[in-house]
Amino acid sequence: MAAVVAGSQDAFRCLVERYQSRIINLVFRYIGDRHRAEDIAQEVFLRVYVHRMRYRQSGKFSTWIFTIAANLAKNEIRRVVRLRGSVEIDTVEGTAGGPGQYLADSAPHPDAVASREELSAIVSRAIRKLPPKYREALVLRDIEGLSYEEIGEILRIPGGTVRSRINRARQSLREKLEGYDKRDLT
Amino acid sequence: MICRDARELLSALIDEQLTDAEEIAIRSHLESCAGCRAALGEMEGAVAAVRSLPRVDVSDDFTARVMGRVERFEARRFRWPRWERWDLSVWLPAPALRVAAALVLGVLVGYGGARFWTGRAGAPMHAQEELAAPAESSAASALSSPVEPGLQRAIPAGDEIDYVLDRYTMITGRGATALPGASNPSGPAVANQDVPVRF
Ligand SMILES: [Zn+2]
Repeated sequence: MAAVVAGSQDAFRCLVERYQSRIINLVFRYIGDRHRAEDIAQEVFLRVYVHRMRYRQSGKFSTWIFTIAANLAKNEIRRVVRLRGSVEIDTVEGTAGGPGQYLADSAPHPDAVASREELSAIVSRAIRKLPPKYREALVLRDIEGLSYEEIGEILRIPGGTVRSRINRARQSLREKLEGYDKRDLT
Repeated sequence: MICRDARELLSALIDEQLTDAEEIAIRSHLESCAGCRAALGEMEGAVAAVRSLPRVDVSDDFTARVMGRVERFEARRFRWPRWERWDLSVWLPAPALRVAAALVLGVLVGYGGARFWTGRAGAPMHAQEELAAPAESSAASALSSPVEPGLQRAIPAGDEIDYVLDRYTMITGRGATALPGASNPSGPAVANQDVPVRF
């Protein structure tokens, strides 16, 4: 990162290659649109480049770039909500509904034998249906594998809140996936 | 420990984030409670399902596109060396807001210019200060929105008006595909008027 700060484009290219998959996957799980996820990831890297002088060596670089990515992804969620109007906010932002709410729509019946791909799609949709504050905690923890401490720093919430949000997110996901055989996925 | 409390700790148990006292309490509860044991098992299944989701692939040209944008950025910076610091989308995430900000600036610059040329303002520096004040306050209000607390503090105060103008040029130079709002026909026209007047 020191070479990047000094303005080395080769060093920056290495950084892009090292982080692009993680950033795109993070944004994709936030917003659920793969194409937009790449656009936003482009913005993330451009911002890292433009603001590279402001990166503090004391902090972890990954935390810094994930914070930028999480903020841009959150903006995108807001933008989509604005575009679609308030009517569909529940669909976009997820719901706090209990078990069955998610399964009530076009998802196949839980007892149906689902392929691995179908189950992946079901889990993906269940994540997208989580309210954003739970979704982001879950994505940072279980998609990106970050520590509770890093998640607290990125989301600017205290440790206890990190813990309870991850718990709520997983609890809600468990309810949404009730009836599916998760072993098929693993 | 009652079930409701135990359920609050399941996730942290999976992640080994409990204090020793909490862990002792929940483990003893789990030994005697089949319901919470089942809930733990299901949560572990859900976590495993999320963790094993396939990663999305990165487009082959992703790095090249980023580097292309970096090069275009550096090329602009060469012409206008001070502009490297400005990135409006930090404050004005929505393309519509960027267009609105540019319109506001256009009006302000036009107004200040008129004041200056009709001799009611003093030296050019004063005209610029007059311009900067309202634009900064509008930028500051965008800055104070709860959108991006992490990035807010990365931007020093005082750069606002420069930042807005530069970012606007970046947007119009980037084309409509990356930023749908930039395809608004009034956008480029406003920017083209703004930039020569200011600099
Ligand atoms: Zn129990």
